[in-house]
Amino acid sequence: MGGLFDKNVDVLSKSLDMYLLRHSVIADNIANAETPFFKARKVDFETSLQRAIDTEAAGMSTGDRGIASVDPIIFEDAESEVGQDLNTVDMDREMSAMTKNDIQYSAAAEAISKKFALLKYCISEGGGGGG
Amino acid sequence: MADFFDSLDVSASALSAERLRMNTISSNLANAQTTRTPEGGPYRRKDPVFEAQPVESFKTVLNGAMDVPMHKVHVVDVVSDSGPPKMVYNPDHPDANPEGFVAMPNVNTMEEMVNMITASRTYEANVTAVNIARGMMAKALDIGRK
Repeated sequence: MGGLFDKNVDVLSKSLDMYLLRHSVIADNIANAETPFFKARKVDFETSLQRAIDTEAAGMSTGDRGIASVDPIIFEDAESEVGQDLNTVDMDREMSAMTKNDIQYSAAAEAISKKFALLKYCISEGGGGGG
Repeated sequence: MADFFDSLDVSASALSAERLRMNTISSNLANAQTTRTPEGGPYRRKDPVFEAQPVESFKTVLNGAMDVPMHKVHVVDVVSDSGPPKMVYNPDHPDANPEGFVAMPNVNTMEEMVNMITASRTYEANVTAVNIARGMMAKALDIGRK
């Protein structure tokens, strides 16, 4: 670890990946909202990502790939009600989850952008590159 | 790992499935009074059958069981409702039976209207999903641009 890019960049880029995965799963649920027997799915990665961050903070290794090796858990939502046609997609819940996920993606993308902007500023000796 | 285009493909399949459902509903409403069809007898209500079909992309094949399968909406078939026709007393009608009853289509206008709203709302939800995916894609391209 160390080098030019610190751990934040790893965590943020992993988060971006995971938010994208979550969007895909939610889009999948919404697309199949009218498909008989379809079971809605959810993505959880925060728990395992937090665990990996804690492990590294404690000075222990998370493997060769570090934070990037965190695996998301995709599970069928047990709380959801079984509706008509044995379909478990709750449209309102999916729409709000999708919006929330979008905002989180934007926040992570913004944070990583700022991080890079800061690095650029440092590289150019804070003088805007003119020398 | 799923990518942007998988989610766009999935949403697009749902859009076309809902559009097909809308067309079926239009056909049902338009033919609510049709007593003659090529198959003979009155028009029968049509209903599409949807199926969740796992997406086979290059990546899912490459990653094997590691990948999360997404599901496209596949229209398996458009089936005819086997419910009995509505018998309406109208002796002057050319298609009336000897007792004076005409077999009318088994289309319930109220039911079709409700299905139409559902189809329309589901369509809108999928459009939102596409727009959000597009927004995320644009934001990803913007990283490091500032």
